[in-house]
Amino acid sequence: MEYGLTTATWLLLFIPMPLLIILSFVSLFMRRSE
Amino acid sequence: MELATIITFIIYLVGMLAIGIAAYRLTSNLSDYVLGGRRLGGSVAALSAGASDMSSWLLLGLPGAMYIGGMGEIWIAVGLAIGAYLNWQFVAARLRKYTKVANDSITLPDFFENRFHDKSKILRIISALVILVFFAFYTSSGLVGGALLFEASFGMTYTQALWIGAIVIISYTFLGGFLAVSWTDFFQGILMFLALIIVPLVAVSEMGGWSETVNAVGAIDPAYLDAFQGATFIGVVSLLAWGLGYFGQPHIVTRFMAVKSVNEIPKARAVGMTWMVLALFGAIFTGFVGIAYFSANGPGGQALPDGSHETLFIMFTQVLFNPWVAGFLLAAILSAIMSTIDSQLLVSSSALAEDVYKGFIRKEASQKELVWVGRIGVVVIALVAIALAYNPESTVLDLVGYAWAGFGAAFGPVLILALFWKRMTRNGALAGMIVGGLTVIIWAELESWFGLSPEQFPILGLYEIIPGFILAWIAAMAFSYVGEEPSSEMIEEFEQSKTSIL
Repeated sequence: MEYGLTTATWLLLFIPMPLLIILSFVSLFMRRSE
Repeated sequence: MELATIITFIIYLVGMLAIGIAAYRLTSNLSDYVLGGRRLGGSVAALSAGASDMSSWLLLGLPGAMYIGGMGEIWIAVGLAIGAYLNWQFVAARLRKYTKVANDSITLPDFFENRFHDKSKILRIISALVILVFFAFYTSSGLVGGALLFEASFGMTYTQALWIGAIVIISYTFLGGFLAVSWTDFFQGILMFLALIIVPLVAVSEMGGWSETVNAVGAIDPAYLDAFQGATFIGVVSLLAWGLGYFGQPHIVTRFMAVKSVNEIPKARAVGMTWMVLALFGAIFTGFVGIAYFSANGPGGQALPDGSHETLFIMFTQVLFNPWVAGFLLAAILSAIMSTIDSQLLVSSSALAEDVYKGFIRKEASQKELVWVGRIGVVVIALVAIALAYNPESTVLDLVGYAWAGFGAAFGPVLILALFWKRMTRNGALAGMIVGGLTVIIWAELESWFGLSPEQFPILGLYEIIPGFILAWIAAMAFSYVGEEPSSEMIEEFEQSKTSIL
């Protein structure tokens, strides 16, 4: 039988935490451009 | 233990001591000793904050928890990452500016006293007490981690391992103070990061790839693959609430005060968050692949014995790598432990030197004298932590959880309100600290003191930081409203902290 991580688990793993990295870089580049 | 592993390990330790000695030559006054004279660049501040934050918890505690509970444990990582981000985003720059405006405060108790123009010194005493009590537990968690490492890797007894780890850490904190701690944190942060990337990658590849790993874990128990399986509302909220702790951790917010300019903070935030999130992923996947690797049908041949799940990362270094690399990876674990303990010892010693000794015992003490009091304080506090760590039943995660909640509740709401609420007063700050700290202590003991168990009342299963944080926030606001309004000087400084560019 094939197993896999549930979709909700994938979303919880790969949305909130990577999003924080993206937000940090967005605000860094916005500050630089100012 | 292979000779090559020992050589790599010793090279690392000598390097750390060399940094301590170099920093010793650059340390001339107490501000240098506890804050490095506010000259940290963004990247050093970021990795230093990250490495001080992520103790043995990251390399031993979290992989161990994942090994036991599978994906259901990732909530804690999500909560922590969000908390760290919010701390960088909202607290860092404001605190850096406000501590400069508030009479160039160099410690958290110093800031509270100057922020609220407290002449009675009561804020300083209470906050120094909170620091000394909760850091004793926090530091001892690191010493337990160090002892686990030396015990599992070098075949020492628990007691020998405890003392050897403590002596190494104390010697360079004793010598170099903040500069040594920040520079070593920077290197240690890089080392931890590499270890957390390499170990899960090699372990997954040993398992035959990602799909094979997931299949093997699912065959043991499909519940390991689902973050929501068995999750309760109270359980999930408690794990996410770890993020609240960030706002009150003195060893982390001290890094914000030490950044050389607020302009460095966006860079520090980006570097710090990237480091943290990737390191958390490394720890999560190390624990996850460990479920399959150390099982009856896995390459490890058998499951880890009961109670030794926190040695998972150490076991991986022993079975997966050649002795040279294993030495480097063990050094990374020691890095995680050292980089946290040294920062905590330093904050505790500054509470003793600046807040207790200079505040009460010898107001006219010279800078040189204060640096030496700080150094002696490092040794005394370390001895108390060693005494607490003597109980080998203590787990890293439990000790960290307790201290983390204590700081988060006692200092978190008070610090946030002090930075962002003009109407906050000294009495409000005092009430917030006392209510937050006591709530955590009492909540953790509800069962042993009052016979109230989470089985009878599920709400009592909440992580103690939640009631502590909420009640401290309410107390701080209520007592601020009840008493006198803040003085015009306080309001003026508050406004200055919003606009000044430093």
